[in-house]
Amino acid sequence: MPDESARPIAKGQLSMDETAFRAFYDETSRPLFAYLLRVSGERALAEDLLQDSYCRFLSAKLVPEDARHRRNYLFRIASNLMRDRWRSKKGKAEVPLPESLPDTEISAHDPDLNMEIQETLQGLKVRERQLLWLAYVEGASHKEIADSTGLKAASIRALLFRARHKLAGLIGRGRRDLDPKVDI
Amino acid sequence: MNEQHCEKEQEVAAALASGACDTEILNHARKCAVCSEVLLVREFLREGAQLAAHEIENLPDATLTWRKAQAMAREKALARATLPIRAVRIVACAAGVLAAPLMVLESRRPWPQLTDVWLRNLSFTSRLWPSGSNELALLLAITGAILCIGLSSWYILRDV
Repeated sequence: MPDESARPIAKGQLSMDETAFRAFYDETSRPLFAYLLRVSGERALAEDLLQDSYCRFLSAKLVPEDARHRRNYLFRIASNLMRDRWRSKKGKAEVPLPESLPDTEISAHDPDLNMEIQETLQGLKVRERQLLWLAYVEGASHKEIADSTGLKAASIRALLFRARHKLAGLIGRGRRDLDPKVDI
Repeated sequence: MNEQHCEKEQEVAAALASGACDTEILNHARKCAVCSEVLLVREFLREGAQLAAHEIENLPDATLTWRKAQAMAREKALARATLPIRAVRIVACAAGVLAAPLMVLESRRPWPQLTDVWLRNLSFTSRLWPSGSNELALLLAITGAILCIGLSSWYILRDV
């Protein structure tokens, strides 16, 4: 459910007009795509999920009025769609979730940095990547993370601590591997 | 694993994410073991969030997404509007399937006798109307039902 300050939408109507949507899209598409790409690790899947997230958002019955809540709501839709995809994939192929990222899909602006980010993120589970991204890139509160991920709000703190600690360890190890003289 | 927490942890994370990190928060983050870890992880993920130009150039266009959403909304509205029609069609098919064996059995008898037996055996209509007026009442009810279905379908579909 969207947040309290939500505006009801009439049946068959989209939640925004085209101009407002364009502005919202320009503001949110890059961070949302980055989130989907880094967490899912598949470019094609991230593109599909991006479009589906906006379509769901536009056809939602209640859309938050406030910009911050609206953005959180969009990320919540994207997280739910990503979870649904993994579940259906898991059900069909009976294979584990893509916990590690494919080698060819992810690329950042700097090739060296890309390698570091890629290798480091490979050491995390999907859920951990999701939690860390929402908390430290999107700046979402524990309650917002719980809403997005479907986890209990009380467990977010502990899960986040473990994921953060794990990633910090991986970052430290990665840097030591690159330069043994570096003292972290 | 001993879980360490800091009461300012969420505040630091939110400030870093929003880019509104003041000196006080930054100083705390550098001193505090938990928050310095937050700082390290945040910095690492921020680099990952900066997408390369070639990654963004093929991003689906806003217009395309808008049109897709419109098409989806239209499809949804149409499905909702035609729901009563589909429901009636299913009921009609089921009634047809149920009536077929009866029709086959009854077809062995001559038609006048069949209609007579059918009308007389409808206990519900027999109770409501005198037997003489049953045929006319039934005809009127069927005509009324067909008219109602037609009008309601027109009403639902008029905006689609």
